[in-house]
Amino acid sequence: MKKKILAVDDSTVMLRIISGAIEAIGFEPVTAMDGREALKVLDDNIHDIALILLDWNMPKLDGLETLKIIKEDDIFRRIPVMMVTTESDPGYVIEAVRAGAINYLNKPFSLQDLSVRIMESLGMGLSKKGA
Amino acid sequence: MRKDRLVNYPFVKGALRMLDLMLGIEGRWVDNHERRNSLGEASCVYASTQLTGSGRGEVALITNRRTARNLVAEMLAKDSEDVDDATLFDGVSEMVNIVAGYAKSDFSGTEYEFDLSLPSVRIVETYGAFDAIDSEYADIKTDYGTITILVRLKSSIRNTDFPV
Repeated sequence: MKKKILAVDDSTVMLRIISGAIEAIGFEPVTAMDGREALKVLDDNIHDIALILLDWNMPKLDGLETLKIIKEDDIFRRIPVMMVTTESDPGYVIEAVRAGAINYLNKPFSLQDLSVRIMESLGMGLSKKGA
Repeated sequence: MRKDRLVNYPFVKGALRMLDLMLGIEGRWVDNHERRNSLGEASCVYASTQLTGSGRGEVALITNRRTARNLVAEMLAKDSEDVDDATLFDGVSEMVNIVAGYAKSDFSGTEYEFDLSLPSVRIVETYGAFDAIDSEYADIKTDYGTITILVRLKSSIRNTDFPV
């Protein structure tokens, strides 16, 4: 079964851009528009999700709080999380890493940068694709 | 005055970088001024985010619908006909979020640092709806038309105070 990558962002346009990059490297995108929805999606897809891409500033439950919840959960915590956000201040990066994020990509980004960071987060070489 | 001493410079940098990285198009900063007499056309898309904190105010991205639709289409690698209004508004909302977020780091650690609200979008039918004192306007030309970046800072920051 093809592995999935969960993208969480409150912008449908950003989700479409990210989903395109996910598909291009051979994974199936699943999406959520805020942290609460992301946790529900995780529950429904727990055995299939290889990576979570998480925006920071979202309504209802923001990215940092979502990250903390994920890392405190015995099952969710095994899934690597990469922040994809406009927040570029080093303090934010440190806070995200301390909360358990393994990678951090600032907006704006090129599709190439996004693809490389996703593959890096999955531990994949640049020559490898797919699940 | 040197452009990099202008208070809206970080926001313009953010817009140019966004156009380059996410749309793959060139933007050219062609003009900067404190007041606008006319945007030249009615029914503009006005995407804005509030700046909160010491450097409180607003930043907005203003352009006509056709240009906005073309830019969002470029972001999505689609034809403009495939961009409906909901996608258009979401796209420009994300653009102003990216522009403001990029600029935020330049102000970080200064007395003008700010946080961002969630962005909003509306259609502005007349110029007077966004004319204001203490605002800086920067025009960025693209092959799809002109984008105007409006920066309104309610703090006492002045151009010559801005740390380069």
